[in-house]
Amino acid sequence: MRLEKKCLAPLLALAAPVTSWSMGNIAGGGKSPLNPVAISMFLLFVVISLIITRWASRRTKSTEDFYTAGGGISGVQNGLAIAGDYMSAATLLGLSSLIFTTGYDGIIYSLGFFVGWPLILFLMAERLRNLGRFTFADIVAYRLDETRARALSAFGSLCVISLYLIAQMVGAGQLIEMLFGLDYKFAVILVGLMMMLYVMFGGMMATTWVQIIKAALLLAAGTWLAFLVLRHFNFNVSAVISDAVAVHKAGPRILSPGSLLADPISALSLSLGLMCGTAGLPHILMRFFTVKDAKQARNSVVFATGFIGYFFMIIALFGFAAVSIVGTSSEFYRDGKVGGALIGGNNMVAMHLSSALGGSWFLGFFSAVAFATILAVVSGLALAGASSIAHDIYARLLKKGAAPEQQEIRVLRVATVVLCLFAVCLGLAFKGQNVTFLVGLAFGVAASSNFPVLFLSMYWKPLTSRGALIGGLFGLISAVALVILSPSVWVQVLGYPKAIFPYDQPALFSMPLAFLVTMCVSILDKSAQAVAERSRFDEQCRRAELGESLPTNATQ
Amino acid sequence: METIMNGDATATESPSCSTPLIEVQGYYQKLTAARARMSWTLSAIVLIIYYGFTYVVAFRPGWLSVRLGSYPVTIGFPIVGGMFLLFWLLTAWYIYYANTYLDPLSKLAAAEVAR
Repeated sequence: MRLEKKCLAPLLALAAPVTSWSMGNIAGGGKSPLNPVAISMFLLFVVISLIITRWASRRTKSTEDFYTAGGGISGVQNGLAIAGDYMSAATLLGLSSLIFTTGYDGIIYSLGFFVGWPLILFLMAERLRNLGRFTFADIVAYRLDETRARALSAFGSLCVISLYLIAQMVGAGQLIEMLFGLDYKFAVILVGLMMMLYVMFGGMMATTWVQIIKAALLLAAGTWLAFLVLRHFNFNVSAVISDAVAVHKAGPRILSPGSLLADPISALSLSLGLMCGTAGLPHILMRFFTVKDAKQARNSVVFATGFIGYFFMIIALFGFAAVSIVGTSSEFYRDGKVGGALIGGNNMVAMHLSSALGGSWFLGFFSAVAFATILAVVSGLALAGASSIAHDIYARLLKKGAAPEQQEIRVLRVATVVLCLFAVCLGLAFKGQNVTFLVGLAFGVAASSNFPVLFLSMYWKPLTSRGALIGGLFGLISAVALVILSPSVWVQVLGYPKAIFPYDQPALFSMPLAFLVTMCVSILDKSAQAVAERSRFDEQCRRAELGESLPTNATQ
Repeated sequence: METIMNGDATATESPSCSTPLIEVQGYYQKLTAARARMSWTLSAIVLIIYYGFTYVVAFRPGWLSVRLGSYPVTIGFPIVGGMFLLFWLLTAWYIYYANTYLDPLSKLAAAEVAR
């Protein structure tokens, strides 16, 4: 087994914010020998997904089909797809390893990942569906000046997507290298090629179905592993916990909150960033346009919330079970030293657990599911990015809505190819780099630029284009600046001894700033255009409340 | 969060979403008021519980470390598990309310506005 230092760092990036804690625990990664079971399982998934793409491509003709699968996705299907977008390989690996290491703190973390969803349902889901068509910029530009509002949203979208995509690609390369024994370069190119095929030919239909299948596989594999865990403990949940306490080096302290104490501001900033950032991620928002109406939109969130909650519950079970199963057996530790460095790094906890309880066959299956997960998430990102380029920038901003449909689809395809090339090139360029901060940055920008503008455009009448543009840019720039000055970039990437801004997560500071600036500038905006924009708010409200049942109004 | 809460107050209290069109809009007004009341109440419940819990974690962690009788777990476990369940049940409650009350009202309101 070839061991590569720092190999795991980028993988942690997938685990998004979980990372800041587990960073200290990385201890070398590694490349596995070729795993034939995993590879054949994965090839099976590739073949099935390509068949789906072919099937979807026959049904994908119009721009509607490309962007939103013709709005024909049902609530349950979309719920699974949303859950699929949210339950990345990294959530599985990162959270289970965090619980393995810190116990109860990890569970508190998973709650932070979860709590945004009910709020998205109560405040946003129906409105998103009723006001939006293809991208969330449609909503921001509904009553505001098309050029400024859409340019800002498209820019925000593309920033978030690029950052997230690079982090995912680097993580994907590392994960695949480790799980399958495939070369990093080959893995990154393969992922890029697959997502290009899905998006270019199958559009939203293929992307959604890849997402649904992956979510179902992940839930099935997780449920089976949970069953194996419970069987191992003779279906006695108390035994899982008491065994963990008995062998964990922190003992009973893993049952109480611990290290969160050290830094409540960070924890608060993180939870705020997760909550509002989720509501500003373009590929998540886009999912709301794939269903028929507001009713299906809200149904999809209930299903998604249920799946995500269930998933987090079983991950907590894995984390605690792994303490006594993985944590005590020398076969999972480098050089057989129990308590030292885990083979493949700390993020491999769930994988080791699956191998300990299910053998190599199940490990192979689990690895294939993890790969499928990555593919599904990057395709969703690529589609959202390509839509923003083709719909927002090309069709609306450059052609002012006068572009022929086939031309727009051509632009969408070209944009997909360009985005995938971009992702592959940067994925290769960032090999071995610590890209954790990119995920923090993506969430930071989403929470500080996309979310405030989107939220205020739906709920706050005095908002004007000028306010949205200036406030949105303020949020974006402050989030970027704070992340650059934070420990994860200033110290770990740039090598300075001390960070200027002490927190890795910017949201607690940059998001209120964005709200404040947007609101102040809007209130002070007395232009004739501002008056006109405010006067359209009532019509927008009626559309938001009543949706399609309302006859198209002349104002839009 | 504070900023959002301000936005929230503006949205619920300002009459902007229910300004009468030309004539008195009974159903439409009722619909917007009911939806706003329900969604902001449920959001407030989620936020208060979640941030209340975060406060306890940060400043009163001892409260969560109380052992549950003969069980090996602390009280923190059922509390987090309960929050997962409660938040999900609230989403289910919203759907139930929307299906049984808001949707029929919304049909009436749409007819009214279209008139």
